[in-house]
Amino acid sequence: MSHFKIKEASVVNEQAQPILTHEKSLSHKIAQGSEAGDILDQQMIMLGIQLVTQLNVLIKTSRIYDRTNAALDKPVDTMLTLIKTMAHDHPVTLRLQNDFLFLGESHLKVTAQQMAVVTSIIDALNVWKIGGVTFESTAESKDLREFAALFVTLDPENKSIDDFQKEITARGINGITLEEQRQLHIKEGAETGEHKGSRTADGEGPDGTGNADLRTQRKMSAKNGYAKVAGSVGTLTQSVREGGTVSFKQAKRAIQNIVDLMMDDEATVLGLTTLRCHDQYTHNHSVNVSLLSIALANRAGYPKGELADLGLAALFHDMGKSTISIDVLNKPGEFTDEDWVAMRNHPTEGVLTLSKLRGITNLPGRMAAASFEHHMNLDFSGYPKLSVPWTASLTGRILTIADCYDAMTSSRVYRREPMSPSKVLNMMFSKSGKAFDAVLLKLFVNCVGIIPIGSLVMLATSELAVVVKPALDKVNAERPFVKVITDPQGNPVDQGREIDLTEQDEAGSFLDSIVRLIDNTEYKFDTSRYFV
Amino acid sequence: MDERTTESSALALSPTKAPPNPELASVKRLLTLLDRTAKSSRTYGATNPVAQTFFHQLFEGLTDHLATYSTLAFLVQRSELYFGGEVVYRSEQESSNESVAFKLYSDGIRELTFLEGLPAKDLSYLLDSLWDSLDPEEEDDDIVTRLWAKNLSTITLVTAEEIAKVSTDGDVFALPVTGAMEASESSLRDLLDREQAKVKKERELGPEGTSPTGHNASGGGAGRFQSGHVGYDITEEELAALAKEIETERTRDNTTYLLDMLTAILASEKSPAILTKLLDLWGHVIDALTAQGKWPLLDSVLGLLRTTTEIRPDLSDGHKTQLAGLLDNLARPERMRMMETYLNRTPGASTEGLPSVLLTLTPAAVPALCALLATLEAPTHQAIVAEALEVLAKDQPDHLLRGLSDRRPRYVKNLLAILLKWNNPRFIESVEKLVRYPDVQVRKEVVRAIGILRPNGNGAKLVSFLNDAEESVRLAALKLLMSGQYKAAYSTWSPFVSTDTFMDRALSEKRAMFLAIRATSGDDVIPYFESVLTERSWTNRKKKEELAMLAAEVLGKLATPAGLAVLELGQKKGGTAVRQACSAALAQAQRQQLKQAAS
Repeated sequence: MSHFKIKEASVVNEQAQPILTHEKSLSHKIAQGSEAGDILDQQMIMLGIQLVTQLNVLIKTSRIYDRTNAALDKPVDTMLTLIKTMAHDHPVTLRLQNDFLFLGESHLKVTAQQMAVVTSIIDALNVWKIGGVTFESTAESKDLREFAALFVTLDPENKSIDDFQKEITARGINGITLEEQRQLHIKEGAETGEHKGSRTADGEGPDGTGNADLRTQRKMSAKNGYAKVAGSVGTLTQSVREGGTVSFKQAKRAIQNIVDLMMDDEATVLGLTTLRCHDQYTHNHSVNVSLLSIALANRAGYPKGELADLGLAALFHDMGKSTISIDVLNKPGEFTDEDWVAMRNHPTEGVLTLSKLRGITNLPGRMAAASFEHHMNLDFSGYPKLSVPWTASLTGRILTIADCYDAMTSSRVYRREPMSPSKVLNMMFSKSGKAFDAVLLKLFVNCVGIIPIGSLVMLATSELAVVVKPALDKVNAERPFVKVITDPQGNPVDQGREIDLTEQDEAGSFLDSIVRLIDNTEYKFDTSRYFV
Repeated sequence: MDERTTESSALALSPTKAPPNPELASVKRLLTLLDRTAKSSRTYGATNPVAQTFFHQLFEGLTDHLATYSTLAFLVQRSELYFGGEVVYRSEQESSNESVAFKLYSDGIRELTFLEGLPAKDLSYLLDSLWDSLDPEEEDDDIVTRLWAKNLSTITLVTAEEIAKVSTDGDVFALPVTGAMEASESSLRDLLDREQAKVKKERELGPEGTSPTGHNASGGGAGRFQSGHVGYDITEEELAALAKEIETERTRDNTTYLLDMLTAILASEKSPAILTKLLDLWGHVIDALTAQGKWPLLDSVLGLLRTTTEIRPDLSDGHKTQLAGLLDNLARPERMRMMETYLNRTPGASTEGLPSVLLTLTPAAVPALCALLATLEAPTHQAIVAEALEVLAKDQPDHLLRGLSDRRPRYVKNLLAILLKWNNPRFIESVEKLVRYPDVQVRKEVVRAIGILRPNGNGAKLVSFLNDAEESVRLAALKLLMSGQYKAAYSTWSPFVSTDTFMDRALSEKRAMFLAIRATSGDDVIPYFESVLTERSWTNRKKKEELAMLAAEVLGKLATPAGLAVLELGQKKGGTAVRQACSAALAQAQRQQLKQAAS
């Protein structure tokens, strides 16, 4: 079982101290060295409910007792413990929007039992029209006491949230700030769900500016979706390491969201896979493999529901690595023979771990196949080696391609220096029909492009550009969409233009062309910055 | 449509005055129906006729509404549903799990929309999702994921998170500042310079020069890049083959597939550590299959484990011990409880494979099987376990014999049935101890068992059944005693026939008793019959006379010299009716003797 347990606190003075036996910083632990630095994970959300509970206790107690009264000691101490843990790396914000509570951007799911406390807090925040309270780790006992005292003594009938914030500043309350209630940004022509009843946003404004807005919105949605998936895989991997249970609820929702985004704008989502894994613990690799697998499976004709199942399976294809110590995974030097044995065992270890955690009748077959077969190769030249006949599943063959592509382009996964996307694709083509399923590999190229997304290229104009989307027309497959990142002299340009290299002038000549692929890894140049 | 309010905690707000808006009124009616449907489904189950009626009313109402207004969208608050800015549903208890609003709110749903063309099955699925009445194994799902997976075109959701996302400009990403790919944009000039230098060098080298990617840069550095990759078009045949594979993958039996995978690992794995884990996992597999009642699969797994040492002779002694432990502990109590829970929960489920599974157990499992037999409810399930016990406990029946003292009649009856199949006379003592078992059916079964296990000889135990409160039990015992196979001295009978209550027994039973006495005691009973025939009584005269007539009849059938002598005595000393009865019995005896002589 997980060491992470929280006791429910009562509203009055009988609060129980949360039992925080995990590391001091959760977000640090999950996103150590991560690009998605402020990923909020399930554990954080559980702590979020605790934070709500303690804030409620603090406010209620402050209505009765003076700020220095000993009755406040316990709620203040408990809240401080929570804040120090949750806001160790980044401030933590408790938000309220449309009656729903959020920790950062993550919805806090509330049970019927918790509802009394949650209602009390929502009502209290609504009276002040407060949209969020941000706590920083610098907050101390006196700050919490003063804040609570202000909360209950100032009159929201006569004072605004601005006045409240000014009082906070005037009294030198440190580490606590207020946010106004957020307004839904409704862009003309864009579906916002609240009005259109759709889970996706699409459309273009009548003034023609809608495309840019839409792209930004899609990009933001994709990034949020990516962060969610990364957060859920991080939580589950950690839970497995600690011998805890595995529930895929959070991951499933996150993956379903990704599938929606993928079907809406494949290129934007695949652009995020340029986020290469720099640290085993960041889980970018797993997320990337999941995204690439979904894209490939989508091209292969998987129905929507099956895509989510495959994406979930792909997300946990490396679960077997949870049996390998972090020290080995993050070892700076070469692996020993023993380390390699452990690495080679991880597909089988993954099957055993997942089967044990989920139960043989409750584990999706795709998830087991993803773990078992992703290093097997089509011709069984990989591992694990089997002494009985085995048929590689479609899931396994998809995973083999997605995993290999992301692993080879990443810097750490197999102790190699990273390779540029095009080089990796080239290598994979050389093994088409042997290690990789030939048809699936062709489909994969259709997804990422012959010159893959994230590739650094030199244009005929001597400008440098990054490939952001494969060409739509297979005849012009070597003419993808690119984003210019420098001028011809190599000076970086902000908001460089995006070019469709298939565009032609009136005479029928192409306006621009790629003259050279550049191995960005040779220069240790990370192109992911142009996608996130 | 019925507009009465319901008594549930979550009520649709009924209009207190005529609503200005017919759409609003329709919505409120629908929510009243929704509440009733939900309540009846929770109370009686969704398949109950009452719940079905409410569901159909809801569906028809919703269909009519959507036909008129095309959409129906609710905004969700903690305990309320809003339609067109008005509260149309409010639960009295804010956080009740029975409130539609709270269920939606709890899963983070901000808006729920129904669209025209909503099929009944989709509405049903939504309701099942709301009240968690879908497959309990789908623990990874909530309302949002379930509806998403169904991809329903006529029910859409907007989650609070989606709204939050479009309301913020915040960016969850922060790029790494250190790591293997740490070059900054400022080095781009250097990068470009170096690449241009390479281009120049390649030009000097001529067309054989290769690009850093390994591809020929056609036309030199300034020419257009060509990857050299061709032929990645996908044919219709290839796509059709993929579609077929996707369908196969979708419809394959998940558990069987996983078991195939574990079997492949078992056959192939060399790592001792993984083998240890794998064998441990097989224990969990057996548990899971047992808990889910997947008997044919479990049977296959057990078959596999039994033959593993042949397939893998290279297994270490430790692993062989681990494997043997798996098979030896098949009937551990927790597992038997799983079996019991499954079988009692699903009495109609297929039991194919279960007999075979049970027969793989060893005799050491007999106590566990007995415990299982005692707790199973369905006779078909009991019969399967009993059959297994019949085989496994044959050489060690002690546990079954001890079980005869159990207080559960059904169990004891099943044990008796097994003992009867074995038909071993040494069980008679244990069986005879059940003469006073509280349950009638068991006592009847005991009589039958005595008849089988001791078909002749001492009938004393059978005689003791004459005290049984149940007439059918007494008659069953008497039937055996009348067979002539048993002996019982008259002294055994005496307490029954000499008591006053004997008179109260039915005539047929008294006749049976006299016949049984005659059959088991022979002439020992003559003095008693004599007293019955000749005794003068002032009380209970009629019944005693009736008894005397019965005695005469029996003596006539006995037809021994001593019996005939007593009849003659009765002919002289008895009352009128007795005398006549004695005469008739004597005549009967004489006819019988003549018949015997003639034959």
